[in-house]
Amino acid sequence: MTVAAFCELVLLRVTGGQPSTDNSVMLVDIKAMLPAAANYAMDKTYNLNLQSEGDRDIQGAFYAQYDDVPILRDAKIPYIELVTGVVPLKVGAGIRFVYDDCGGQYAPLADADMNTIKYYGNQLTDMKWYRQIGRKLELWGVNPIADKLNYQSIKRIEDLADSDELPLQAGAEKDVLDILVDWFTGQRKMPYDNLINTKDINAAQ
Amino acid sequence: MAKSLVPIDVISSNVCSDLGDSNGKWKFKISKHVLAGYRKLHTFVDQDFSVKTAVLEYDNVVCMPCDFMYETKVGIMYNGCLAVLTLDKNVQAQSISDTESTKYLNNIFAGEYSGEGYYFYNAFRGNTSLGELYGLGRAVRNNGFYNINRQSGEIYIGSHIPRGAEIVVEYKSDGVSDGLKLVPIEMQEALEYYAKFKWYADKNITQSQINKNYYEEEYFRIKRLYNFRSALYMSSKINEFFSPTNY
Repeated sequence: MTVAAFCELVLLRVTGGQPSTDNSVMLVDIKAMLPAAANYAMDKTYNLNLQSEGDRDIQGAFYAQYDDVPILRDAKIPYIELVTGVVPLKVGAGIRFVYDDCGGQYAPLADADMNTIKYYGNQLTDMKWYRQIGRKLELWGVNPIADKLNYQSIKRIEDLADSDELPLQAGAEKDVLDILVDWFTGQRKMPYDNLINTKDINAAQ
Repeated sequence: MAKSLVPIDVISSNVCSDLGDSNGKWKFKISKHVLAGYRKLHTFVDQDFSVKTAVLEYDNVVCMPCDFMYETKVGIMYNGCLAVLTLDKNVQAQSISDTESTKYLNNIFAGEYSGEGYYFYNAFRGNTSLGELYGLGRAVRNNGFYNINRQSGEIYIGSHIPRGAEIVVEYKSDGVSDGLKLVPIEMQEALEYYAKFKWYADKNITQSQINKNYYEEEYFRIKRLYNFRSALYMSSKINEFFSPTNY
């Protein structure tokens, strides 16, 4: 479902099916709240898939491909500027399939591994790593002659255009819809899953 | 044996895939386990690829390569000739005086030595491969040659070594520390099981144990493969033992 269609649908529900110029809730309000609800639904879907099937994959349909992003070398560590914002999902799943124009494949580097990269970098020759710092992607072990990088990422919800598809797994739309409607009709607090068991403790009983 | 080789990258990616880590979040950790596993297999099972020779520049103290474990041969290269100083411990070294040492080296460096020699295998000068080097002479021992400190990985050069000579050391390599890209394909499964055994060690002890068992099976399979000798070869060795002239 596209962002525009989804927001219209929420507006329709909030206004009770009768759009009016006198509404206190406008489309911009819904768009402003959409990322929080959508991110929550994406995280919930991830947990659900993991628990039911041990599946950590995120659907390929949600990712966009960014090609030939120039590798910049004006800092100590070579890097690229990410083309768009990225959904800050668990395990860095917002970015994947990072590879350069020399065929080198990159894997994410965790913070805990930073202390040992200097040692293992000399032993794991030919292996390449990336690390996201804000809107930058630091590249370790990058080939000196590589100057372009390709990657896939899930665009940050705030950066989606009206005609873009929302990255929600089938079945998760209803959750986002309900959350937004309940928020705007004052029936619900922010969702909170403190036990990480995919149950929102603030959901309506 | 012709060797088919697999990149470490592929093995790590396979394990990540088995663990459901499609994003490669654990790839670095897995790679570390694969390295550790390979170092073990390489040291204790795969003796075929273990020997390397480094050609090092002259200095009072020469640092050994980072993958150095212990030396198997030591020689001195000067004037295009390689003089053997020390061989494997199995070969008895001859203790010689200072005068004899100088004469021994000068004889070889002047090209006047007519005896046999020994090969130094898999030689490298920096990153340049030199293949095999043929060293002249036999094992000799004198305090003026050199002294190796294995713990610190250094050679202290003595006064008999001419300035400008190159120190040639054939050594047992750990196979990893100077960089590792490819491993023999027969080790692939063992390394995958080893990585999973280590990865699960502090998360799921049952899975860890299962993978450890699989790893041990593979370990012994590789060991059997590398130690395989045909029945004909073994019978000839036994015959050789009992009757040196009739085999």
